[in-house]
This record gives sequence, C-alpha cells and structure tokens, in this order.
Amino acid sequence: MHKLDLIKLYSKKRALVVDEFPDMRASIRRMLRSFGVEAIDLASDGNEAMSCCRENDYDIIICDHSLGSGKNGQQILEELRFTETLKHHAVYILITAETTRSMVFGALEYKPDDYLTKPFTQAVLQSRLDKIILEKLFFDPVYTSLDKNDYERAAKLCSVLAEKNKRYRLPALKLEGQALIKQGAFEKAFALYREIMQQRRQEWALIGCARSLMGLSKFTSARNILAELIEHGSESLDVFDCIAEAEVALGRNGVAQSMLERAALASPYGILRQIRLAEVAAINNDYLAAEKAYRKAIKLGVNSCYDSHEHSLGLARCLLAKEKHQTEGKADTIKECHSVFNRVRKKYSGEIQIELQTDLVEVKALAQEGEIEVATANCHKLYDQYLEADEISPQLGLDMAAAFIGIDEPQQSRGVLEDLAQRFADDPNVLAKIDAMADEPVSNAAKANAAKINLDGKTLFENGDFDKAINLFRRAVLRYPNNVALKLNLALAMFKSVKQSPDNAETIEKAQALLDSLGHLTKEHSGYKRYCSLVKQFQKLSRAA
Amino acid sequence: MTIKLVDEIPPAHKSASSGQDIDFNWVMESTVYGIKNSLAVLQCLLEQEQVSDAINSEKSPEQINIIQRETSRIDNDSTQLLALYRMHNQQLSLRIDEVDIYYFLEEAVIANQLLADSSNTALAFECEEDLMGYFDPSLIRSVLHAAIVGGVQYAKSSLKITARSEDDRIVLSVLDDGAGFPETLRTQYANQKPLDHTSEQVRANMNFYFASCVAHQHQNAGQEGFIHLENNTEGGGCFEIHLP
Repeated sequence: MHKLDLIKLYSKKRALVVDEFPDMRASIRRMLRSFGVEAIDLASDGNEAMSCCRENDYDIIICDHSLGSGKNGQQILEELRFTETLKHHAVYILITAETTRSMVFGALEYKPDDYLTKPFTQAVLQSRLDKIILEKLFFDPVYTSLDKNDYERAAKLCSVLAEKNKRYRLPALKLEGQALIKQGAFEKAFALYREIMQQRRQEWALIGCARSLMGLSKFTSARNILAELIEHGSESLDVFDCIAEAEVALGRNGVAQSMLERAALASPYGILRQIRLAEVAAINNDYLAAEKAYRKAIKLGVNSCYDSHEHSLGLARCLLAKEKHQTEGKADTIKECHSVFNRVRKKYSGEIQIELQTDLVEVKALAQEGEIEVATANCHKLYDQYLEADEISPQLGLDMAAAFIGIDEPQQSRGVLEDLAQRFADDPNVLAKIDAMADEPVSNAAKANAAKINLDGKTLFENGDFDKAINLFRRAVLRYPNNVALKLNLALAMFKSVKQSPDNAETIEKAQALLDSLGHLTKEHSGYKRYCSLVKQFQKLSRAA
Repeated sequence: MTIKLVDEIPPAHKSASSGQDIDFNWVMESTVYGIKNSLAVLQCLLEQEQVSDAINSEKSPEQINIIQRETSRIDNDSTQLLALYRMHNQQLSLRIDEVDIYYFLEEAVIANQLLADSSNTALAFECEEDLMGYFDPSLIRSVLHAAIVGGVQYAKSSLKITARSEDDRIVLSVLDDGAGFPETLRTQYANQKPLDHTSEQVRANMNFYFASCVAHQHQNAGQEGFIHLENNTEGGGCFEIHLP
C-alpha cells in the first residue's frame, strides 16, 4: 500500500493513548499525528481509560502496562474484551518494560495484538502499527463475522483469504482454526490442523490438534500430543493450560495440578489460571496449595473483571479444611474465616445467593469451633431458604451439602447431593465435584466407575497382586476422597500386602492414617463392621512389629 | 505473643534497617524500570529535536548523534544487566516464540536507522521472506541491537544484517566493513562453548559475553546455541549467533 493511502487509512482511525507520564502521552500522540491519525484521546490511568472506552469506539489503543494503583494495561484489555467493548478489528498495543515480562506474557486471559518495549522510536512504532493495521484491514470481513458471533462464516472467509495472499496464509489458517473451534466444528478443525502439520510441524498447530481432540472427547489422544510437546522442551503456557484441562477430564487431577503449578510459576499474574489452580488443588484435597492460589486470586482480583466472591469463600473452605488437621493456631484460622465472611457480606450485601452461600460456609466454621448448637439451628433455617431459592447454582448446592456434613447429618447431605446430581446430570464437572464430596457414588458415571474399580480390584486380589491393588485403590481414593467403600478396600489391600511380605512398617502407618480418616463412621454405616475388623487387624500387626 | 510480633515483621523491612540482605531482585527491577522510562522520555525528546533539526538543517547533527548512540548503549546495557542478574539467580526463563525473521530484521534496521545515519553508515538487511525461527525475541533483540551498535562504531561505511537457516539452526549475523576482530577475541569464541567470565578478555567485552550466555540458554532437540566471530576475506568483522 502506498504511503498516502496509509495516511488516509490512519486519518479515519480514532486512537486512545494511556500512560502514566504526561511526556510519554504527548510523545505518542505526536507520533500518531505524524502517521495521520487525527482523533486522539489521552488517559492517565485505568479509570480514565475505561470511561473513554465506554464513550467512544476506538480503532487503536496504545496502553502502558504499568499505570500506578488501579487497573493495569492487561486488566484494561481483559475488561474491554470481557464486556465486548472492544471490537475484533481494533488494535491493542501493550507497552511494557523489560522488568514486567512475567506480568504480562502468557496471561491466560487475553493477549494484545502486540507488545512494545520501552524505549522505542517513532519509526519502530510506525512499522509495528502499519503491519497490524494492514493485517486487520485484510481480515476485516472475518472480524465483522466474529463480532456477530458468526463463526461459521468467519471460518469460511479465512479459508478463502488464506489463498489470496502468501504473507497472510499462516495467520488466516490460525484464525480459521480458532473460529472452527468456537463454532464447535471440531472434526473440521482437526482436519485443518493436521493438514498444516503435514506441511510443517508447528507448535500452535499441534496445540490446535489437541484442542480439537478434546472437543471430540478424545482426551487421551489430546493428552499424548501435549505430553510429547512438553517432553520436547515446550515452554508454551498454552500447552500447560491445555494439558491440565485434558488431565482434569481424565480424572487425573493430581497431574493437572502440577501442570497448572508450572504454568503459574512462569506467569504468576494470570488470574484465571490461579483460579483454576485453586479449584483443582481443592478437588485434590491439597488445601495448602489451594489456599495459596486463592490468596493470589483475591489479590489479583482487585480491579479485575474476574473478581468473584467465590475466591473468598474458596479460601474460607480451604482454611476450614486446614483447621481440621491443625494442632496449633486453630483459633487464628477460624478467626480469619470470620473476617473473610464479613468482607464478603460487606462487598456483596443484598445479593441473596451470595449471602446464603456465605451463611452456609459459616455453619461449618461454627461447628468446627464448637458452636454446634448454633450451627445446627442455622443450618436448618438456611435449608428452608435453600429450598425456596429461585436458582440453585452447583456451588450453592455443594455448600448446602457440606454444611449438613459439618453438623453431622450425612443423610441430609446425601439428599442434597442426589437432588443436585439430577439437576446437573449433563455436567460432568459438577458431577465430579458431587462425587468427590459424597461418601458413596452419586452420579451414574461414578457408580459405574466404582463398580469397575472394585471388579478390577477383585481380580488383583484373586491373583495375589496386592501391590497393584493398592495402586488401583489409592488412585481411586484420590479421585473420590470421601468414598468409604474404596478406602476400606484400600486398607484391606494394604493388610494383605503386609501379610504377604511382613516388615512393612511404612504401609502399616499409612493404613492406620487411612483408617483414622474414617473415624467418623457410626454403627449405622454399612461399612462399619469391616472398618472395625480392619482397625483390630492393624492394631495386632503394629503390636507384632 | 512477643515472639509472634517479631515474626510478623516482613523480612525486607528487617534487612533494610540492618543494611544487609537487601532484596536485590527488587532493586534491579525497579532501577532498570526507572532507567527504561527515563530513556523512553529522552528518546521522544530526541526525536522531536531531530525533526526540528531537519527543518533548520544548518545545525550540525553530531551531538545529537552521540546522544542517540549513548541512549542505545544505556538501553542495551541495562537490559543485559537485568538479564544476566536473572541468569545468575536461575530466574531467567526463556519465552520462546515463533518469530517472523524478515520482520524481525527489518525492525532492527528501523530501530537503529537514526544511529546509522548519524555515523554515515549504510544499514541493510538480507533475509528470505518466509523464514521463521523459534527463539526468545526480546533477548535476541537486545543481542542483535548490541551487535549493531558495536558494528556501527567499527564499520567504515556499511553494516549488513543477514539471517539464514543452516543444519536446523537459524543463524543471524552482523557484518561490518571495518578492520575486523582481533585474533585473541576470535579464538575465544571458536569452540562454541559457554564462556568463563573470569577471563580478562571476556571481561573486556560484556556484549559478547551476554550474547554467548543468551545463545547457550537456547536449547532444542539436544542442540545448544552459540556465537561465532570471524573476519571476512575483505577484512571486516562478522558476528554470528546460531540458534537451534
């Protein structure tokens, strides 16, 4: 394109410059003017930037990452995209200093069109901006379709555009893949990425293959592709995020957690990843890791559109789980829980669902600090409210069930979970959480799974392969940490293993810890007799050792 | 209770008062951050100067050119300082990206054009249009910029940047038409090994040491990156960085 045409193109654009320093704002404005941009607004912080964006549609936003207190440049971008204030054809350039690398790169949320490092010359800014503007112009029809959420048309346009200009072939194919995945056309997406791979093995195409396979519920194949990338030294955060998703789907939450931890270490400021890490760690009963991640998420949530009461309540749930195992500092932990509840109530006052959830988590706290009567009375009162609620979110249901466990009414808890499993019968994620909380499988999938595990275990028992049986049940217990039958089977396998090859103090110790965790069983429980006999057997064993 | 109170004092606070164990990571980051911001403002003023200079062209541009060159130097040096500090503390993680090398070189030329103009050096680049590479663009950019700033100083009249693909490696090179590298320097970098920074010759040139460290950090499929210095048949120096 000729220089004059470019100036003409720029003259129709509206730009926003966001920087803390007045000198920098003025300089960047001067640069943009010399490119031909006429309408330029300036903002000095996140609030000003957001209010400018609500009033005007910008084509170009040049924003420094570091903007004093308030929102930073990445958070502004997140909120603009999250609220769909920023159109797909708009250019967002994030200015960073070398020192902020870890803050912005690899954020899971949204990526800007380009990063520019301070200091930069006018010529560099122009060269970058020209390239992006021309590319955006080339893909303009695609962006228009994307703005209308018409992914099918966007994908079709991309495949036409890919043949039109060699320079834009790869970006066109990338966009086409993304559109196909958003459209849910995973077969087509997979075929596209595989074709790209045949020409050249590229990381983004491999990740695309894995994402398409996940869309087709082929989690094992997806996981294998991603694991191979990691083995070959891939440092891409996309790979770690993606493999974590696949591992969660495969029920291997432990591996998922370690993948997310690696990604979070490389990019500690991505809030969505911290939230995911906290959730997965909580499912794994790794309350210390979950607590850490929730604290991070709460900190990052300040000024962020991803802030949620769930992070605070999540933290409180972790603290309560931690308190059970604490020998010292119990009172401090409970105290912190109450201050969390106060903060949530203050911040979200008038939001009935959130208030109800907070009250339910508080029931557990009260029960744990010995106020069992107050806790029980509150819990029953809250149950009436729960039954009348207009809408029951999965987490609200889980909190209700947990509150009943807290006041030692397991039957009531089970009823809540069974009802919840019916409401969310189509959502495997919710079902997994329900089964993780229940002492017996609730969902059909978990029932079938438990049946299969027990059958496999039986075969291993018959063959005398007790170490393998231990492994099988240990993995199952990780997945269903409250399942009594599985724990008893694990303890039995340990017992048989010690009998087979005595002198195994470590196994005996582990088995006793396992049985301790079942100390709450009462005579009414179907597994109570087996539990008592195992406890006795192990007492004999440890005395003999 | 007293013991607890002591525990609650954050370590940074404690050490600052005693003058020991200052959190140097933070010191480095905020200092370099400050330098970069100041440079950004200077850069802007400088360009304004140059624009007005171009209008009344009677003025000699020499002083501005020195400022231009030294600004680039401070920029490169502070980047290197922070990166080496992080390497030393095993805190530097590479951010490998797919890089369009044609654009990458084009931008290196654009960024250093003012500097080259000021020393009457012709700056050019040569590269196939669809060459792609996988490396940390930010680190390699500062290696390349440092090589260009150095090259411009030693070049008689021209400096050329090229990129090629060779044995599964990307080779970026900066060629000048000056007197070439001295023998001692060339032998130092001949064995493709990471350098011992206690050696005196290595200490004499931080830029090459930094380039070598960055190159060796890049590893792929059992190969490691390295740098290579040689002289052209016509005599000029040629700096190469090989990336797997």
